[in-house]
Amino acid sequence: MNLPKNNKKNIFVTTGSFIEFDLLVKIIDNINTNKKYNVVFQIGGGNYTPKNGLYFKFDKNLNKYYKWCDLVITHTGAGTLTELHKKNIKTIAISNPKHYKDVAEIAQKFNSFNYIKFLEYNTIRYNIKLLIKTIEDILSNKIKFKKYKNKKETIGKEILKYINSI
Amino acid sequence: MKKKKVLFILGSGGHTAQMLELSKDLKNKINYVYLIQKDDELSENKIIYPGKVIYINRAAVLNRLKLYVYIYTIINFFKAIKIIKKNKIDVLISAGPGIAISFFYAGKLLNKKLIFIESWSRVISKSKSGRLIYPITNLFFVQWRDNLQNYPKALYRGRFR
Repeated sequence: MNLPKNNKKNIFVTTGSFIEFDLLVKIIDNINTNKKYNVVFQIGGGNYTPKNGLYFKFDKNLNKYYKWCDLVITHTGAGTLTELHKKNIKTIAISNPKHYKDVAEIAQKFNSFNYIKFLEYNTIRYNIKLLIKTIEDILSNKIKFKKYKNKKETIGKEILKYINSI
Repeated sequence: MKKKKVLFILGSGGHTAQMLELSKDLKNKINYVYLIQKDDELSENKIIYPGKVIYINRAAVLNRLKLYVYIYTIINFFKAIKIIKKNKIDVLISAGPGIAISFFYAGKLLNKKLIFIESWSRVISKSKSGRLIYPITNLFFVQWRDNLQNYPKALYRGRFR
């Protein structure tokens, strides 16, 4: 896939590799009917195919999309959010009301630390302006995020200490 | 001292990421045996420190009837006993997929050491695996201080993020 490069801002929407989150794809696709942004979607296990952007289902490595984009809009998967925060990529996480595993705790915590922005799907569903404003504020740097700082892990040390004592 | 043989129970996505983050700290100070769920094609490629890889069917599949989940959990328990014995495992470590439940109880029966790390996605709640495994662990970590109230004998030592 050739990623579009022009003077428009780039948004990467990812639902995760296998998960279905058509609601998210649809809502972003509808925002972009005027093609204001370059949008690339990873639709994962979803069926809805977006009309106002490029899309793919699965790619082993998302780094090229992360490098390309100005903003990622994604689900609340802990792994994804942590990776994005570590890479200092501007992120909006949206809760997936249909997915039983989707625990939004981490997204709420990251939101409270100002690492990412978290929005409930059921909120933006009735308040699409809030989503549009959030996207605009992030792209224009009105909303700023806290940068990632590497903290020394000690779970590993504690485990090694224990294993050596067996 | 002989290196301990550790069964690293991976899950999909976030669970695997945390376990592999842990392996960066444990380096080659242990011998790794990895357990991966059959439908998870991505985890094996992400392994940093090589070790034997064992695949197993997961018990809980979306929309599967509860009864079948229980039956598969029991089947996996017996498979776990076999795997732990055959591979001479000393320690089991997991950050939480459902498959860990069968393996930890099998490990307990065989008197192995059990280390569980509650997933970082649990800030102030218990995961199903965490709740069931907590009473039998030798070492139990939470990744958020807030969650110590759910698991009083757990340790908080930062988190993988």
